[in-house]
Amino acid sequence: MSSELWADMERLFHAALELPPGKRAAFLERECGDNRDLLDAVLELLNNSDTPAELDYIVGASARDWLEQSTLEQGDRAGSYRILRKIGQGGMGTVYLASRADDQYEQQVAIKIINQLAGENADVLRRFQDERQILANLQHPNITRLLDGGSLEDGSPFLVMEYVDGERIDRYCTARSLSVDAILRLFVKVCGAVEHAHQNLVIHRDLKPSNIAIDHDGEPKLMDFGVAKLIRSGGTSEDPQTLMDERVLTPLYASPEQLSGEPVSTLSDVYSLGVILYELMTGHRPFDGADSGTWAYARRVIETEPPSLRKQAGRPVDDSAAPAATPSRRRFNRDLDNIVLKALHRDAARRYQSVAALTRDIENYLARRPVSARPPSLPYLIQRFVQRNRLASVLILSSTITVTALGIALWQQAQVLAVERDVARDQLARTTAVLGLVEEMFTGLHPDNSGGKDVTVREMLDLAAVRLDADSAKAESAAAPARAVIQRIIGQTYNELGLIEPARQQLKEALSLHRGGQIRDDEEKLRALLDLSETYYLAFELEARLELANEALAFSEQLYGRGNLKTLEAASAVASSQHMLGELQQSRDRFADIYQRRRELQGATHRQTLGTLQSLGVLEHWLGNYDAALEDYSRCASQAEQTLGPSNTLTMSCLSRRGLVLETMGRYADAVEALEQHLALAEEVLGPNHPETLRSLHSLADAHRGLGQYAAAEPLFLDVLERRRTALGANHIETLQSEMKLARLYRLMGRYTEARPLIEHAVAEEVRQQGFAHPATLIAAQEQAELLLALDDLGPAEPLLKRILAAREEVLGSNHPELQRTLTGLARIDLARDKPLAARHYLERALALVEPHADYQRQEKEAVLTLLIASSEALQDSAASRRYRQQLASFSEDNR
Amino acid sequence: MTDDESVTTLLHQWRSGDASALNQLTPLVYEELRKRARAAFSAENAGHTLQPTALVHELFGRLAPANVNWQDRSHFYALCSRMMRRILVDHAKARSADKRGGKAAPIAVDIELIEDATNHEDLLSLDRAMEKLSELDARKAELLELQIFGGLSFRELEEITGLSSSTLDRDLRFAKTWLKTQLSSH
Repeated sequence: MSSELWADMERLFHAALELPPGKRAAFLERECGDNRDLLDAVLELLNNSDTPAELDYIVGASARDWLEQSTLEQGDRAGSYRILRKIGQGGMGTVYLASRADDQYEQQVAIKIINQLAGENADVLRRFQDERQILANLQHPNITRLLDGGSLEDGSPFLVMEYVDGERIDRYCTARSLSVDAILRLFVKVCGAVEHAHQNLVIHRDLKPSNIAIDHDGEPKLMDFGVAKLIRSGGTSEDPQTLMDERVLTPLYASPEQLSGEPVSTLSDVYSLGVILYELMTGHRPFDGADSGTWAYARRVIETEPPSLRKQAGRPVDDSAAPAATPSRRRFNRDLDNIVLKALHRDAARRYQSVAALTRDIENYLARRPVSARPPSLPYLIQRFVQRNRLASVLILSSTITVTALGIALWQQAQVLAVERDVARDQLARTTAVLGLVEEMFTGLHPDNSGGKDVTVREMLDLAAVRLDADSAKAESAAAPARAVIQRIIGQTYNELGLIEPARQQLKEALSLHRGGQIRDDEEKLRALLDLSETYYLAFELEARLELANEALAFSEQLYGRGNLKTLEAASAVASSQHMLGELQQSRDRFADIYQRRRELQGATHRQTLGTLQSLGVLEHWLGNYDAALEDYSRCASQAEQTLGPSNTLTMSCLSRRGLVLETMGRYADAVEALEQHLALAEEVLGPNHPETLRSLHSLADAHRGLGQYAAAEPLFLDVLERRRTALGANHIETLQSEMKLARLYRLMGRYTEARPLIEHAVAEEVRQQGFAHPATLIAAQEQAELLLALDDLGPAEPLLKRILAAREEVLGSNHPELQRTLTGLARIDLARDKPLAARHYLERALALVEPHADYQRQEKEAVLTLLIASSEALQDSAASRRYRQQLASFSEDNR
Repeated sequence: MTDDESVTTLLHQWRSGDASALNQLTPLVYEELRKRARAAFSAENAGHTLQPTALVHELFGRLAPANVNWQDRSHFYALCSRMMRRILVDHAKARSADKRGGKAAPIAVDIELIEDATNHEDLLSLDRAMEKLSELDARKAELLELQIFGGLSFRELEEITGLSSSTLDRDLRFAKTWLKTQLSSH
């Protein structure tokens, strides 16, 4: 370049800068004329004139690099070693590559020299001496060896160590795109070195990738015991000085106890190993964020759970130049996740209790054996869950029990599957999916994630269901077996909570997966059939229930045979369905058969045997065999209390039913006692709106009614009716039963106008839902007839009663005790219409029915006898009249 | 004779026209810069933030005779800046050769690996561009050397060169812009 051109460039550059940017090009075109070189040169200058100065930066970076390398120079001496170059430095010391000054050995060594200023600190010096002692004690192929030591002319001490010409473990793994298994095999060796240190009573305390080098043979070398401490007796060190030492740690790999200044043990090294493994796998440390290294970061480490590898794997790795097999593309097995998360547990007591244990699990994983690491144990999870909800209401407490039951169900399911995990891959997938759900339920749905308020059980289930839905949206059909299991179990839990619609949805979906042919799992299908039939039971969809139960029974007989327990379960569902449909005799016989088989197979005191005994009692109750029912309930209640405990649901249910039958038998005082006992337990254990609780409340109200305590009965009925309407719906059979019973109360209180709409609604709905001839409908219809009689509305009463009579005889036979009410009602009409003969005919039948139950149908017997006297007098049959009067007198005398 | 005294004497001889004095002065300045660097490095560990080019200032304050005239100051700053440049260029060449030599990234035996994030080629390019600049316009190259390697402020440059601020501003602006075009074209 000529000096003339240079001068022109300078002149035009400054002149152009004076102009507005828009006018510069035209100006330069004019000035330069044909001199394109000049034009281009000035334009280029102008393009660069506004960019920030980078010259200072270049020089600054170079100067810094030089400064950092200039404590000792190449050729300087350290004892008998000659410095080659600096290879590392930190707050405390600087490390040089060196060789023997006498060139006796080719071997290169690493020389670690304490920094001048740091060397004035006695603490640092002491630590340096400690390290020397520690290293001298550690002889392990994966730990760098201490070769020598000495001090510089100025007195600075130095250590001579084996030099590892290798790469940091993290870069080594990334650069070679090592597979998960290859990384683990390397990592096991690192663990071996740490384990060796622990055996020699040395805690490393500063494990991190930069302290682990991989040499040319691919062997890891553990370095820098600069802050290591000898383990004192007990495995922890509580020396205040030690605590201060922790502050010099790089916090990114430090354990929560290190960060919070608590005593450090070998478990802190386990934690750091966990962080390293986590980073090697995902490319991220567990709590990485923009604030890494800050106080907020430390707080996260101390207070929160790390995200699983699989969650972390979704994050992009910052290094855009990372090779193809970036950690972020790895797929992680849940076992591996569990291993890492166990090592990383913020509660040291819940980590692997030694590096050896961690190593074992990694080796298990590599050998595809089951690993010991699992999500935190279920009792622990439940404990944590209860702790979180400990201030919550009784309702939460009761629901907690149900969710605990769900957790246990899922857990057991997972355990069963885990045992068979090698059998089939889909089972393995199911195991992990089920375990994952348990984990999420108890830990994922943390109050922290719900804005601080308590998570109710219902919310927990709903969230689990929603999550399942979201998961499955992206899952392939391979996930169907797992999904079917989980949906079935969630549905079952909704059943237990009495939440019909979500239960139905989950179970129907589960069953349709089975029916869709994607899954071959007969046992699960059977369960799904039975659980959905249970939902239909709760919903009082009786035909649908019987159909499913029959399908389950046939399926189970075909799979397992008649005498099998699973088949008995299905048979119970059929029997129960028959009961609900009013096929009482068939139902009773079936239950009796099941009861016998269970006694033989499982023993008389087994929970299921007792459950069947209760069902048998229910049927005897319905069939009017009250004594048999009372006997069954009482035996069930006392045995269940002994073997299962007083607050067991079966114990309580038997107790409740015992109260019911006592109430039916007119033994109201006994009933009230039994029911109040049950209610107190049920409110606490099952919750105030549980169907079982409401059933007792309902019966209690009715018992008060039976005792003539109408004032006590009314608020109870109103309460139970309201709760049933809310919990079950206005047209649920049990709601209708409360309406019916309240109507009866109002009738007895003479409040007919209040009784009427209640009973009319109940009867109409029951007829619609289960037909007129259903035993429950007949009871309601009877009450409607009683009201008509009380209102003297004989026209509609008579055909109604006749219809009831026919249906009762048809369904229950001619000897059911309830029949006497119908007969008595008809007799009243006939008497009112001056047909005493017909009346007496009905009444004599009624008396025959009352006789065997006279002890608890006292009022009824008195009523029948009174009517018989009236009819006999109307017939002018004084002999009969006298006879009935005597009978009534002696009966009343007996009962006084 | 202490280092300080020898430096003062050599400076005096150099100013009196003894060219050989410069040859003797150079290694002394070089060594002194290293010592300063080491002290500065330790100071950094004690919590100070080091401004590398401030070394030259520090060095001047320590070595320059108390009653030097502006010409001596100018020469001495120029000498220190030149020295700094040479040190850094040598360093960059050595480090750059390490890298090219394919040596595995050195492994830290202590605490943290040296992160050789410095792009030594940048400094070497800068050095070559400065050479080219001094062929085209030696005065501007000297100004830049004083500013970039000597760490002198604009006011100090005014004082030492005796140039008006507008001239200085135009010269520096043009020279820096040109250097940037040289660096960005590589």
